[in-house]
Amino acid sequence: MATNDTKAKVKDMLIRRLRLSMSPEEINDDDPLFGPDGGLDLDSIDALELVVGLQKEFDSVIADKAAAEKILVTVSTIADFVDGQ
Amino acid sequence: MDSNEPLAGLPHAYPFRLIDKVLSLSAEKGVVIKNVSCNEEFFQGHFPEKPVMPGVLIVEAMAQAAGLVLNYGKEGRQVAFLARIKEIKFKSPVFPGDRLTIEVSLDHEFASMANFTVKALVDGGVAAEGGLVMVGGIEE
Repeated sequence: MATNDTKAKVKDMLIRRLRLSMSPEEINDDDPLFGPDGGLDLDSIDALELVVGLQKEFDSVIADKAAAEKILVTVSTIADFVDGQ
Repeated sequence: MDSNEPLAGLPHAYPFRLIDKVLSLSAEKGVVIKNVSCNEEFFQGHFPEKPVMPGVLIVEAMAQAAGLVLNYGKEGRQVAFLARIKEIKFKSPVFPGDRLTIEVSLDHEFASMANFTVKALVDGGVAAEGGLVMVGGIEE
């Protein structure tokens, strides 16, 4: 399980890099990031920005699209990936 | 026809080819030329008394160059779409007679999408610079 510290850092990166007009408190750890179902409603262009952000800020490299589909799901799944590196 | 083989990969046709010549091209980087003639149609209206190249067309020329880089080495002629314009700054106007040297470099590619750093220069000075996201691999 990822630490709360990592989750907070992931939320900060999301808000900053995607210019979300939200506060960290408004993002739940398990909210879906993509798709319109109650989540952040991100798209594939945002996904590229997240892949770049994870590499630059966390030194965490997502190898391919299949891996991205498993990792870029919620704040928790991203934080688990970062902490598991 | 052409001594400028890399340009054959450009899917755009008249009147929307905004690259005249490719100076260098690879899967990471491209340098191309756009000669801005006083006969360009857009100068008639932009503006009648003060012809200036529209900034969006400079961006289009950058996007065409980025598309060449993104589809470099891929089979057949492919189209790339502009997915995002990031922080483009227009630092000095482009006038009739100017020669735009456009430099694009691929920073990060992921799942057929790529971030580019782009720059357009006139006589060595920066006319416009910023970033683009292109999505490639679209069959013509």
